[in-house]
Amino acid sequence: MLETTHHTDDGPRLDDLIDRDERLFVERQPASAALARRAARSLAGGVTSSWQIHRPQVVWGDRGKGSRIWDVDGNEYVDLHGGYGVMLVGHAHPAIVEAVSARIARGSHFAQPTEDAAAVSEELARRFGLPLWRFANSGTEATMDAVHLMRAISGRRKILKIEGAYHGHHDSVMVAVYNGLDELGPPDRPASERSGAGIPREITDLTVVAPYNDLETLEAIVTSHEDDLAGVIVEPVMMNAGIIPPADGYLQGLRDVTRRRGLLLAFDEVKTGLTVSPGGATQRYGVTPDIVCLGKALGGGVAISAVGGTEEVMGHIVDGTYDQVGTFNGNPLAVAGSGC
Amino acid sequence: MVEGSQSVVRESGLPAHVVALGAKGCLVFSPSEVRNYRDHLAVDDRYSHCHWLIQHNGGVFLPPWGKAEQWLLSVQHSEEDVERFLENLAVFAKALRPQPTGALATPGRAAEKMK
Repeated sequence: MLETTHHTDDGPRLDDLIDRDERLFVERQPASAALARRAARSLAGGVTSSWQIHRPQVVWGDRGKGSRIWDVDGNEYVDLHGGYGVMLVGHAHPAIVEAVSARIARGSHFAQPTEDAAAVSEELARRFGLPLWRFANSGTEATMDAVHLMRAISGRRKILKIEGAYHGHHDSVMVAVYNGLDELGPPDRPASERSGAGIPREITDLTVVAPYNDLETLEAIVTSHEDDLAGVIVEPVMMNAGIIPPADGYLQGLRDVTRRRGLLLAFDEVKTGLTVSPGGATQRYGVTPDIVCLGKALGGGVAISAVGGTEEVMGHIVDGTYDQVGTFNGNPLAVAGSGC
Repeated sequence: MVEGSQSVVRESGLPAHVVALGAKGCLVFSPSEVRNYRDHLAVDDRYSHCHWLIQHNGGVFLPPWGKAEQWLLSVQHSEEDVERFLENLAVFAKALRPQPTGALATPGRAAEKMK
């Protein structure tokens, strides 16, 4: 859980307002509360993802159209949530409705590629300046592929991630994510503290942590682990801590350090890809990594993710060194949504 | 969206600033720049939760876990949508930094308009 410092003069009034508006929130949503009680008997915690749990209670959705969504109580909202940054196209966009409807009428799954997969990968290559792509189903899978690729290519065990950055919930990256200050260790040598249960220390110890926007400290940490370090994974714009843009020259500096030290560089653009510019932060800041991970907005509301890379990196998929696999990878419905 | 938010923040004296890139943006409830995760931890998350509640009750659905998340403007959002967000932000600011009467600003005015 996030740790905060409560020290402002606004504190008492904030507490009063929160109390008042949480009561109003609950009063406006009795149908959501009823569904939550029903769901708690068959859905663990009454939700389909723990990220859906929030105070004062979960909002159950009904429908969306354009910029608006409605909950099961009939309350209408301007949707700036976008389903955690997915709905860049808005809800029920006619082009998405047409493409996905046409696709499902012709069959929705073959575990064989469809033409849309080629078209989407061509467009991603154009936007991100990386020639070869594969698809998966979630951002977690895309960053997992990136980590696996960095290890497979280098033959080294360790990766470096940024303190506080979220890259999905696979073992290697659930390290120093939402930990409190008391667990983070010294600022110049952040601890590889695990951020979830069920992940062995032996795995999280292989993830080295460095602070964001601090190239000097990062390079010193790289030096300490250089013999066994495969690469660096970073959100080019840190986006699970509000929005923290890269300092001037930071991304180019990362590119330079990783090249100089023989490390691979992966940009986790699950949140920034397509949303901060059509070609993500890669295009916006003009720094091209070895690997890019995409998800969220890519599918227009249909679950899909992608991992793209240089000829050298993705050649290890081409030659079978690394098996990037998945029954639903490039699912026809998903690439139809992406292709609009 | 950005200019309007900055204007409300400036006029109200809220301890906040706006960060936006492309279709994404957020209000950071800190008067100073946040450069890394440790800076982020120091931000009082009651501001963002209170803001989230007032926006929600006023008919704007921002992402939960407001301190950590961002707004997303889609290709289908309109000026009217932005105005509703800014109106709610002003309600929040006024409620937090009230006029001399000390009365809490009425929440959910925008929501009432939708009925």
